[in-house]
Amino acid sequence: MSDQASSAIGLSRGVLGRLVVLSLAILLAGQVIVSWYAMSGFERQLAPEANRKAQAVGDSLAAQLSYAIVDLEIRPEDLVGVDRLMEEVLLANDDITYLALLDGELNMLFARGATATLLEILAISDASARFGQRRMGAGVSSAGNYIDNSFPIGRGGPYTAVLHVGVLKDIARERLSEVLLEILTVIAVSWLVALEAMIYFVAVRVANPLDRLEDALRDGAAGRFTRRIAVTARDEVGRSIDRFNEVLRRLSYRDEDIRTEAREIRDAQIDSDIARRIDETVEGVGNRYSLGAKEEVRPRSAMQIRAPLFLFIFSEELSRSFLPLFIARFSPADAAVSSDLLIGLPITLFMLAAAVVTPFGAGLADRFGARWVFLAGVAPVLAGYIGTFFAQGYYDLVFWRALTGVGYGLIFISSQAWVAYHADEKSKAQAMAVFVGAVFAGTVCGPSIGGILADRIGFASTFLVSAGIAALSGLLVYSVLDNARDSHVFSRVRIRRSDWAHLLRDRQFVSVTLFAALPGKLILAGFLFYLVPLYLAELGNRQSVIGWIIMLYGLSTIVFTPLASRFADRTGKHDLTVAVGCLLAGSGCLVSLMSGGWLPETVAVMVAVIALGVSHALSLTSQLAKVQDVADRLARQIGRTSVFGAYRLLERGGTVIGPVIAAAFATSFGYRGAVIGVGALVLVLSIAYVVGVGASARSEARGAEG
Amino acid sequence: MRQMRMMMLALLATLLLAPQAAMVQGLEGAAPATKPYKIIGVVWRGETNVEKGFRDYLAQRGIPFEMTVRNLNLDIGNAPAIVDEIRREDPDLVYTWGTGTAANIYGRLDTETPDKFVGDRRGVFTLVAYPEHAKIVESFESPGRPVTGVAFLAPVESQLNAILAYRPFEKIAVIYDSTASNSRINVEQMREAVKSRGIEMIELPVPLGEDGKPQPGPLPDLVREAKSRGAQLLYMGPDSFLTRHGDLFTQAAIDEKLPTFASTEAPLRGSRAMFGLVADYYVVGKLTGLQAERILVDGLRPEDVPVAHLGRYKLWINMDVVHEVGLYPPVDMLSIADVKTGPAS
Repeated sequence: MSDQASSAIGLSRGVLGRLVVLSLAILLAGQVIVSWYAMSGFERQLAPEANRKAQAVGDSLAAQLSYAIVDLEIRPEDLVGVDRLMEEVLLANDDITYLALLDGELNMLFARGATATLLEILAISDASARFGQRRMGAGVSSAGNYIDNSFPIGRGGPYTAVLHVGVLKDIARERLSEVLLEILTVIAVSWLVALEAMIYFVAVRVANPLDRLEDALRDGAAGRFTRRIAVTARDEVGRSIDRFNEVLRRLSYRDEDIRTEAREIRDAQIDSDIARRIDETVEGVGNRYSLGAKEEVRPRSAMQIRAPLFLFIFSEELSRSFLPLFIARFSPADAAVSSDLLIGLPITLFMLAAAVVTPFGAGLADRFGARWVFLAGVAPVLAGYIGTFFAQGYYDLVFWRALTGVGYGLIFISSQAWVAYHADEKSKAQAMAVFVGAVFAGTVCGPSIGGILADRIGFASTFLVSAGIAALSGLLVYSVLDNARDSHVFSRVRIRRSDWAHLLRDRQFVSVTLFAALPGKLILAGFLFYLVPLYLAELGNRQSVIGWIIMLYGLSTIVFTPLASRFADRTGKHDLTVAVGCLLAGSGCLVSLMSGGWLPETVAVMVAVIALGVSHALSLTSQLAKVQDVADRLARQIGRTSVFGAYRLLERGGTVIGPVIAAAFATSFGYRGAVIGVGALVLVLSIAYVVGVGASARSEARGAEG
Repeated sequence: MRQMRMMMLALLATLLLAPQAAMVQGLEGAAPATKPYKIIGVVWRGETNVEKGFRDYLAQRGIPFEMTVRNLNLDIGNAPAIVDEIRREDPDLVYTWGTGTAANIYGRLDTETPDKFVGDRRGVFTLVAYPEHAKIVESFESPGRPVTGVAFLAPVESQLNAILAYRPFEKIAVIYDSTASNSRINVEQMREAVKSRGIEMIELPVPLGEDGKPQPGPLPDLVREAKSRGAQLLYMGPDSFLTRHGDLFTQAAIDEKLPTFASTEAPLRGSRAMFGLVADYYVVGKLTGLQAERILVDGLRPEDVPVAHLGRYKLWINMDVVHEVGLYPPVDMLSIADVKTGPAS
């Protein structure tokens, strides 16, 4: 990451690298120490706390039973409604694992949450207490994996019944590991946020202005002193550049002075020869040195968009881990279509709104500047988040989410436009890395932090946090970005009908868009955005765990993208990486086929999420390379941008239909079945891709022979 | 279910806290005693906890009063003499216990001989199951005469909730006096209420003698008939005939191992009904006292004081009957019910 970042901002690894390593190391050290203290305190307090609760619950339940058995003289076996009572107690106290009531003859009368083996252990321990002739007291003992609390019921003499209340021994450890996971997540995310902030400041405030200064000094060495550098920051770099601009200004004044003086001297000359020589000299100086701050140079600032974009993606991804669950709360019970489809619909409409708005956004950016389009996107996003917070019913929720989608499309395309405006040809790749880096960082931070937040403040309130972060992102754009544009035009895409005809007849284009790109987005929206939150919640995972698992997608993409693109660039085997990537995404989901027995279902989902991340890392860059090939080949018939526009359009179609397809599967086969179904569908399409590529390679080979 | 349980807990809380709250109010409201209010009370079968609650309430509120109690002694023939006495004594307020008493002291609204009653005087009635149906008042909201009071019966829906919380009974029998309006109204309401809950109700009116009055003799046979027709529970509404013969009736039920549910206190306290959802007589008395206070102290016209009913009722379980019948209440019900362990007095 730091490697990519430092290269992206064109700063020597020495400065930023050291800065990053040092500050992150200090950050980590602090976090580890604080977390360690917190954890050890937690551990000390949690274990006895869990059992204290069991004791309290057991006391009150035993008192109730004792009233019935002892005071009202109901024989334990005649008790009615004990099962239901136990069930309610277990439901209200999820720390308590089992409840069991044995009578004086050690017959198991009522039990909830206990396994057969465990019940035997309890009976034996009661029996030994009895045969050992010791009075059974309210005691704490160990029974298998449980801490068992027993409450004898009976007055004087032999007890008539014993209530057992059990707590899983590991419950403390389980809770601890959950918290540990959250702490690690927060540490990782705070690293990323710190890194983003550092990259932003170093790039925007230091590296870019220094780059410009270096260029200007190089100009100076060649005798050109004409370019002022436009920097407004009042920091050290800003002041140095001010000084530099001052120097330019003074030089130009001096130049004026010298010219004026030279003109006066020349005018005083009677000898026309001398006058001519003075003119020649002045002219010669003018030819060798150009002076006067005639043009203004802006620091190349593609980087400026990174922090706001990161914040925005972060805000949107906060709800990633629970959005379908949140929608499910609102879905009307009496609708004509299945509730699964109703849950998928807002996600689909969000994607559709974003997809529809994107081409318009590009045109608007060309006309009004990326900054204004970004800000215009923040408004519906804010309204969408706040509206979602206040949403009362399903249909307002759908509306607010679609509105957020409109803003999302505008912000996304305006950020891309900004990068395009501010990057010249040679730095284009680096500039796109800026864009992609911000998006990935947001997809890593958002779901995990969103899950932790949702566990604590609830789903709806998390949207308010999103609104706050999105507002911050807008504020940053408003105060930092300027509206000036380079002469680049971020091309508005117009795809004519004849273009489509060409493209859809091109086997390579069709195979890469319809059988690789579209399924890739389909599985992203259908599986990761829609199914994963619903399925994992159904399996009983906490929201923070769901967020953490979704984060693995972004994380594996970040880790594998540089490796994959290096491999593909070096070998040129783009077909191979696309094929392997696509096959991987589908097969990842099919791991769920084996889940249930030795393989926990949650782990199977985790594997599929990581596979999806790796798959996208492998195939996305290579897909672009393939589309590039197509564009080069069809350059005479169709504009390059139209080829890419068509590719993007079809690809986005995947995100729109993904949730619908997943929902249709879920309605018939449940979430596990839907994961497998989506996986199988994508796998089939991938195989079609592989077959298609193989066929075209063979025909090319034949063509070469012939 | 859960709602029901919450209701019960709230009821217990009210019962525990109400006297204290009233006490505090009583201290605050204590006014220097002037001339005590004169009240003549008429009861049906001697004094009960209702009168105790009534007196306690007025005393706690610091309201000076002198109360004379006359007993009809289960005979409406005694009413005219008491009506005459009320006319003579000219009390500030008349108090009556029970539907029959109210009907024979105040007279029904549609009586053709209002001069035989004292319906034109300020009065309160208590322990009337259906004051509207019994034509004691025109409506709960505006009585339509200078008489108001307290209706005491738990709504049939609440009664059914209590019955079903005990066990999901599917077939219940009601044995009732078809000549009494209270009973007929009650049976009609039950008939409506059980429909929506999928419960079958067997209706067994008590056979009438030649005098047109219900006969107690066939009661045990009716109980046996209910049992043979598959009834799982006997329901006792506000039926004074059944209450009068409660011992015979409830013992017959116990012999047949049939649980009895009572909607009034008398069969639970005086006979051996198994369980019931009833108004606490003491609390009913206090509420009647509040009605009296509004009229006597606040100076409201009784026709402007709506008939009050209790918000909370008591779940009463006679444990000795439970043991004999062998049908135990759910454990969680025990903690909210008023469980009587001693034999019924």
